[in-house]
Amino acid sequence: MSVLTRDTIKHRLKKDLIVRPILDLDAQVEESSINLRLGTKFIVTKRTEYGILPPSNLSAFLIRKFQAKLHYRFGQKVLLHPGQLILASTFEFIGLPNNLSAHVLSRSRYGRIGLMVATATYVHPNWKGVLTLELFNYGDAPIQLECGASIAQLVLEEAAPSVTKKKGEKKKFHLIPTEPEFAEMKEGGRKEWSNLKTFRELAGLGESEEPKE
Amino acid sequence: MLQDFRSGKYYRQKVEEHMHHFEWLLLELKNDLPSSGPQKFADANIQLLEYVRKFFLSEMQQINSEKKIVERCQKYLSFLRYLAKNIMPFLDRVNEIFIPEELLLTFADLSGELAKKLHFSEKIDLRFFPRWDLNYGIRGFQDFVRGTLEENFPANFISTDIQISPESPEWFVFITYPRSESRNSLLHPNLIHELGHLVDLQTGISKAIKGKIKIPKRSFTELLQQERQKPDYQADEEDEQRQKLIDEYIEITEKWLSELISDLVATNLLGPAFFFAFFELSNLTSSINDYSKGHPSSGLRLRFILEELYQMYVSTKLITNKELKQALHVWYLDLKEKEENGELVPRVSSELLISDPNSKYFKLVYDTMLYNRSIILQKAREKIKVVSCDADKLNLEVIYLLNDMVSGKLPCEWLDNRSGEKKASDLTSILNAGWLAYLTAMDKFYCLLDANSGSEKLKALDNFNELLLKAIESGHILAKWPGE
Repeated sequence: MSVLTRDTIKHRLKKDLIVRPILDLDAQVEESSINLRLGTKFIVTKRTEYGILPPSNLSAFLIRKFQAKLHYRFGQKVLLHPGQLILASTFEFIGLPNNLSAHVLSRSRYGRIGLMVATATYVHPNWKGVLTLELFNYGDAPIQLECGASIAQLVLEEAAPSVTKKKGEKKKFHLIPTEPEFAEMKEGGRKEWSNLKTFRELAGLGESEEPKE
Repeated sequence: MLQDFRSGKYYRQKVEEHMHHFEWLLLELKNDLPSSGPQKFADANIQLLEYVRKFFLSEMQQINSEKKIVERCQKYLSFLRYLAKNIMPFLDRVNEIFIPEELLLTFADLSGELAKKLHFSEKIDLRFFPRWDLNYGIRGFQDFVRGTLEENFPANFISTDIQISPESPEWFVFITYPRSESRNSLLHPNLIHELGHLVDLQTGISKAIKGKIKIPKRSFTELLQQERQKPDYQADEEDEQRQKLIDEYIEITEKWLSELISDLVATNLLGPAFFFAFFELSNLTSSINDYSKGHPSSGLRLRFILEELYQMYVSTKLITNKELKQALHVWYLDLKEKEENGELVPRVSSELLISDPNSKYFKLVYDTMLYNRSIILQKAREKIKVVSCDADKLNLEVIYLLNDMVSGKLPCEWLDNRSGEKKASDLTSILNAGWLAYLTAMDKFYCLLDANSGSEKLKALDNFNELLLKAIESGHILAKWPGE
């Protein structure tokens, strides 16, 4: 599958690819990517509120206990300290058709001062919504970000649309994200953690210490 | 030695203590505020307190009588209580999830645009502030430091030249809204009604119209006749009675007119979206006949709003969209019929409530408003037509956005087929598209999200509202983004 280049990206933007709003088409569409801007909403960690985060048990209560939402204005500055993680989102709303997938990458100018913008970087065909970014400062100095600055890039790839459905797959209720999303344990993940727990018990490994709500 | 709780010394110390606490409170609140906007209001309060302290110290030096000192100190304590009750709440930091921040820049620009077009001061600091009841409102503090001092201290006392910080806006305006609806975009057109109050305050539209309206003489004579028939009526005080009736009548008329004009500003700015949003709010809060001294019944308000919309778009055949035209037409006929059958007359909805002794005034003011409807609509339109939403917006842009909305695309821009250009969509078109989608095509949106159960549909509706907010923020930034 090939990566889309400038002309194809512009063509697809007119046809079936949605990236909204693009404030500056010529500057944002690069040779083989679209620059994405930092949105205005953030989720920050309340470090003093919680100790261990158990990915197997991320209830809404726990999430709200250790994460807080912030809303900045477009153009407002945000500081990211060394070792700090902030969830953010792209300013642009992305809508992929069923034959395109994408990767979100850091822009090199930010990467070289220690900013990582995303770890879960793959975007599936048919995606609709803003993309959650995991901003992490792995450098030595605080990084000053600005809401609206182009910090990430979206690399688009052609994908062959699936013709068959996953076994037992039913249409599932879903939302269209408009802001960064809290960490959430999906059903598939729950099953995996439950299997691991059973395995641990069978192997006589005992319960690991998990914080209670 | 035991302190005398009645002495001037004691009272003086209490005022100083309270001022000290207030200063501490203001600095604490200021430091906790998230951005420079609300901090300006905190600064204005700090400046106000500095003047009050200055006046207090100089006044205390001039007074010799113990009794007078106590009296003045009590006034100062009462002023500090006034600050705490009426002004300080607006400095409290509110959890950000209850503030529709996406709208703030749009509203600030909108008030600036209105100021420019309708010729009033652009130095307005506009904020949103949530409240706990299901109600919308506006609190404006004009020329805050000087205004508050003049309101609370004798004129001769404010002799010192008050230097207002040049940073300080002429107006601090707080639009208040129900906390529970802070993310409900479909109800946000009601915020524009509050902006309408600001327009009316600044331009004096309702005051100018008040001078033009005619009192339906027959109704007033009937009212006077009723008064005469009362057993306790005293004929020798007829002039006084008549004046009392007129004063009450004028007071209610002014308040109701101001509400109707604010509605008409919102109707002109937002078009049908305001009608739908106000209809929904009035359904949630009262019956169409409920009234108060400050607010006409929502039936009367809806009648005015629809008459305006009908004249703007339907009777002129400017709206081509079938669904929208039909919706407005159906409601127009329904309310017109209700009016003709006397069903919109203000009355207390519950029979359990004791009948309002002032109801005679409300009926009379209601009659006056209907009697003068044409002149009110005409005079208001002359003033505010420069900010009207044109029919093309509803026919082209809104329909484009409606289709995007129900296919899950962010409705922040639209393709103008006439020019082949992509354009930013604004608050008016997004809210109208939102309402049209909500009224006519919500099933498509639910289907898009695979929302089947009741709870899934409720979550989908929240998502729908969030999309509208995101679109308003994005559309505004797109429109303001500097070009080449």
